[in-house]
Amino acid sequence: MKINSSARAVRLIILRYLVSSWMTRRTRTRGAIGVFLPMLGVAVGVAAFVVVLSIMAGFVRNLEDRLLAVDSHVEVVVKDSFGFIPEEASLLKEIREAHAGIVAVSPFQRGDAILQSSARPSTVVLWGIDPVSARLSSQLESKTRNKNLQILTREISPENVQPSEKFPAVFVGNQILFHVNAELGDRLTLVSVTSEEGPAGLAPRQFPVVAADELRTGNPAFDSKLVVASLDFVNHFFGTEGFWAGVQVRVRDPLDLDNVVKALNKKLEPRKLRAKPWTEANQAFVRALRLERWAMKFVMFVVILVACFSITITLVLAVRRKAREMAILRALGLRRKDLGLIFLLHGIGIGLVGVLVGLALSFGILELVKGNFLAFLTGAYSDKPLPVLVNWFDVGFVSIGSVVLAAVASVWPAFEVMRIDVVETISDRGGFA
Amino acid sequence: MSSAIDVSTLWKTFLVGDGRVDALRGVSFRLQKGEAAAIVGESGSGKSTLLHILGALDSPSSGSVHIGGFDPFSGTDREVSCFRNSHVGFVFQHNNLLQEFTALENVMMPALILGKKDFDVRTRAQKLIDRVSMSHRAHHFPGQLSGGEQQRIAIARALINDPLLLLADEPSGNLDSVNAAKIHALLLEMNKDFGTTLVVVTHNLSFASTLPRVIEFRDGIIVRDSRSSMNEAEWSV
Ligand SMILES: Nc1ncnc2c1ncn2[C@@H]1O[C@H](COP(=O)(O)OP(=O)(O)O)[C@@H](O)[C@H]1O
Ligand SMILES: [Mg+2]
Repeated sequence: MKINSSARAVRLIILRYLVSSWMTRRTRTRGAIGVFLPMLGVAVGVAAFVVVLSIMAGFVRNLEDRLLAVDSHVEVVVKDSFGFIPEEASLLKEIREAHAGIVAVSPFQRGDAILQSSARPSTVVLWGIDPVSARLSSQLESKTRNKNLQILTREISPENVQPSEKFPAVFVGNQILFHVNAELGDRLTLVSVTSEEGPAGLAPRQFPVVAADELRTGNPAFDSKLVVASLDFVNHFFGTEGFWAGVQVRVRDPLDLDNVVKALNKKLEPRKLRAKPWTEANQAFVRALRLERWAMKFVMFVVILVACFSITITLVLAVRRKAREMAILRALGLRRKDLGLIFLLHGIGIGLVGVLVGLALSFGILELVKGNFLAFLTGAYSDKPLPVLVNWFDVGFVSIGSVVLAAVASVWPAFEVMRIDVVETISDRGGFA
Repeated sequence: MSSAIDVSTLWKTFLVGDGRVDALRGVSFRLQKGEAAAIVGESGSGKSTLLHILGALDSPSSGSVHIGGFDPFSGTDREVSCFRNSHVGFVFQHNNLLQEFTALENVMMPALILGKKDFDVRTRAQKLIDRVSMSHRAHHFPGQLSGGEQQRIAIARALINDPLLLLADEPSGNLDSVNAAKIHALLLEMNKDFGTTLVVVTHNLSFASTLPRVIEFRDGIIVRDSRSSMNEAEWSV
């Protein structure tokens, strides 16, 4: 016997049922399977999920911007006392590979110094970085005017003294510049806080530098204290060649550091190093934020769950309404399995359309938010639009998750339709066992 | 000529609560290929039950049923479905059509289920719709058709896969006498033109008498099986 291949017919039926529920009036269909409400439920759930989490992520990024400014998420430093880490490329590799959540590492040197102009001195923290890797390990570069850390590797001739020689470039906090009454391009002098024996007796070391760029973080702790230079220069200045004060570590999710810190500490134990997360100083706050994010995710999950539950209800009702047509389809030669497939795929179709509509909706809303629409409504963030940060992993997760839930929600209706008693239904005697 | 239907000592028992209903109690008969038979009998006499079993929608409790020499109850759901799809055309009393599909698409459906290409099917479906005088309504939905028109589309659909059997269970039961007569005429024409074996359950005795063979049921057994004299010679075994 020739075995039929009903796949095309099944596909046609599903598509028609999905489409015709939108044009019930035209087709004068009495028994169309509802699509709109459950679809809207899924769409709203997905949209709420994406919008709320994107705004929250943007908020966290903003906060990170202000609190951390140019600091990194984690610093690897010497464990017990002040001290330096011997320079070693393999250590960077080891740190980088300690945990999958680590996205960048960069060594640094740090110490106190005095920055002097012709007008007056200012005590500063002199920070030496590797311009290549530091681009990725912190937001430092974005806080400068020229957005180019490579400038730190150059020697530059100053604009305020003639005739000009070339001196190492440094970036200076904008409030320091103001304090010492200097401008960008000026020659300044870095003076060490310790003295050493020289030809004229005990004297501090002095290095001429050029203020090549300014730092503007919005956080006075940095803007009035920090001078950034290349790692080599700073090591030369402090006489610490061959050593680092620590290593900056950047992670994917700044609120989810525990595992990274644990992994780092475990791995670095033999080297007598430890990982110091930025959250150490803001623990309660970070914990609250993290809890809120989980609560949000849970609420959104429940919204989508309810939407999927309404898929189940819609389809189970549709099975009863369409029982006669399903029995007719059996008489025309569809298999029991095919009927189940129709309802399963119908539910998945609802979920799929819901997700697409939800995504379109959420990106529309996020555009409005970015365009300061919400600020206009609420009066909050009046000078700046709400920060928005779309996490594509979350978007993918909620999209796939919703479709899977829709599929699960359709399993029961699919079994229901497979249980239809064809003869009973066609003879108008009911039809459900 | 080979028999299209060969039924012997067919029993069908339904278990209802503690009791049992014997809907068919030892039914035997044969129908040649291309023959047309009316099944008559009062309500509850087992006519529909017989028809469902002939179309493999239901299975016998005991006895044997062969359709075109083939026992449809030995297969899997897939095989039985395939049997229904290609060898049986059903016309039920009412609401035969799929609401979301046009008349034309309804007629095409069994062929699409069979796996035929849309284009090939469309031409044949169109011809059948012409044949049942419904070409002006081909693109209408069932909700836009009258009861009689729906039944005509159902007849066209039943024939699209050129089945061995056309089974109609009170196809005019819901129609006025004028429309009923049209359906009756159409069924006979189809039987003649396509040579499809026809079994039609009807309460309309004057229609039944126009068929070459009439089988009367009472309480699950055949009480009369008559061939009209003018056809007797033609169908004698
Ligand atoms: N699923 C069933 N359960 C119980 N009894 C049934 C069932 N199907 C049919 N019957 C009984 O079997 C007998 C024959 O039914 P049916 O074949 O529908 O009669 P007809 O079509 O001749 O009116 C009736 O008494 C009916 O009540
Ligand atoms: Mg009946």
